[in-house]
Amino acid sequence: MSKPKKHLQKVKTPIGAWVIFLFLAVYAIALMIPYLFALVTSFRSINDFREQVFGWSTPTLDNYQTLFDTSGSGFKYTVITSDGAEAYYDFIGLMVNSFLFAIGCAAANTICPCIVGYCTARFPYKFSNFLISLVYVLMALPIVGSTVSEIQMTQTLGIYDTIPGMWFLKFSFLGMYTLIYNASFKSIPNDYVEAAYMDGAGNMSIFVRIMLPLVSNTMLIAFILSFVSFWSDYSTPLYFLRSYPTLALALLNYTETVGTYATDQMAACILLCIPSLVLFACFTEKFTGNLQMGGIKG
Amino acid sequence: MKTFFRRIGRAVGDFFYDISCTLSRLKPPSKRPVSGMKTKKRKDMIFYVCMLALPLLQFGLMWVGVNFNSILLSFKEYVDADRNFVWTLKNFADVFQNLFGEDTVLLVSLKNSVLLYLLTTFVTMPTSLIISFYFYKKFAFSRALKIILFIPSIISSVVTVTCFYFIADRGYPQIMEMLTGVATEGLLVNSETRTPTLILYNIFYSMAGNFLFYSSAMSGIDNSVSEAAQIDGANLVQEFFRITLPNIYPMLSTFLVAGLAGALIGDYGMYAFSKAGGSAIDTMGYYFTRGITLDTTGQTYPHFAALGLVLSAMTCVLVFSARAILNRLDPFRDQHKEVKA
Repeated sequence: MSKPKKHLQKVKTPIGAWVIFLFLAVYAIALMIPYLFALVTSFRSINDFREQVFGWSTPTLDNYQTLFDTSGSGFKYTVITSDGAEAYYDFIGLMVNSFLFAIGCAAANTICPCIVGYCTARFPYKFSNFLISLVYVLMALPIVGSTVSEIQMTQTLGIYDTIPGMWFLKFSFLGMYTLIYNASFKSIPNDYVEAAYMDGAGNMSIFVRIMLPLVSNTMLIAFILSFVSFWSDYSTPLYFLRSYPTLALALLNYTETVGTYATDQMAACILLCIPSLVLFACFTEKFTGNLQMGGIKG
Repeated sequence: MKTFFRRIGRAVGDFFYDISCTLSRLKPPSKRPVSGMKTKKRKDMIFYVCMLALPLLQFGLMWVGVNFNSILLSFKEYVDADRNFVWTLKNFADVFQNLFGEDTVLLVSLKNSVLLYLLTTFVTMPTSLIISFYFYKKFAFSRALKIILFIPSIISSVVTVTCFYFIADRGYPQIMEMLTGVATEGLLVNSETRTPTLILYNIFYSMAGNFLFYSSAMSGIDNSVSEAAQIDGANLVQEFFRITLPNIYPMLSTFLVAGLAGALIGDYGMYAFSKAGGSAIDTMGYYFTRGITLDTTGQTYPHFAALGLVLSAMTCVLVFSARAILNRLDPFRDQHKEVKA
């Protein structure tokens, strides 16, 4: 039986649709205005900006230079560590923290569901069924406001205010990804595993050398989406990483800790957006492809 | 007894076999594959346990432990800075008094959160659906527009809030002064315009969030269904209301229910707004974040734990009621039940 065609062919745009197009075009421009404003302002001098908020003057790189200036007059972000001491971060230090936090958390958030998805798909024990049911149930159960308890738990475990501690915090299998991995591994024919086993491969080499490459696409999508989300996340560092602020958190506290230098702040905004935008530009199809999968499953 | 002798016999046999292999300079095999299946099962089990150990440990500590601690915490009252405590119901009494009192911060926060949820959901959902239908039908410039509208979803909300704050509070007064010649306050500083501005901000940016999910769900509809409708003379409006919407109903109801789970606790960008320019309206998420970050000693944690439990209970009731109602309203209820089965 032939598969029904899923996607519609491009159709001629009727007049009603042109009206929607007009609305969409205006909406898209309006959405972009704040980001364009940030981009333009980041190349303006603070005096120009004070005179006129909207405007265009001779472009300058001073704001970016200030951010990357490691001398005393450059950008400096002050934090009070959990020991009560004062610590200073320059912009590069914040970026390093952001990368460590985002890459580690994204890796943890990708690997853990993958492991659980594989084990539950490959080994049909009763416990596997229980785990998958648990994921479904806990996804439907709306538990809110447990942050204070999480803070206390991380303090008790000694992982509070440490970046590796945050990786452990995000090493969770609860969520959609476990179900996606489970479905992906189940769809792989068992013949691969049996052939590898006959050739003397152990369970670990079957997992690492045969099964993981087959779901590498899913893993890549999960990693990229998680990275973008953790890169932009300010709430986790706000609650759990006092001594290791990320760029997003620094931007949140910019006015209080650095000062009201709007042009510097806009330059920091642009720099915070760059990694996410680069990933989006490189993997546009993967972003939308993943959403398609989620949409159909929804 | 029989098994015992059999084991001894096998061990002796293995021993001599290994010696003979060593003497003939052959590498001895690890074990003779007498009970191959059993060994494989054992190895599988060891692998299974080892692989799941860390995820389960994490779950045990960071979900079971955290929620158990949350329940205990809600019945505690710290009596000194060393976190010595007494058991009490005071936290719940405080929460209920504040939630059902008159114009308390907690009540105002709850009201604002619900209002923002209702507005963002019931204004943005229809608009998002129309936009999604446009993309699903692949009308002019669909792909380019899709990409542009997706960009705010990948940019940090701190960036969006900061830029919006500068435009609304610093740029708007200058423009108004230029146009009218009258000095005007910023939209967020002015207490009269603050709430409508923040509501508009939330509606404006949440509209761009869900359209890709909807259009993807629409692309899952069998092409032959809409083709049949077109042959029968259905126009686009009829197709949208009679074919597309009923077919993506399960996803729509899932979105509504999932959104409801965060409705009472939503922050709606208020913490970021308060940090950007000190102007925000009280929402439940903002109340939590502000309270927790200001308390460096953890003395007020029991209050927030109790509040979290009360809100979780309220959210559970809301979510399961909404789910039941939405399931009843499903136009293809019987078919979807069959698919689930």
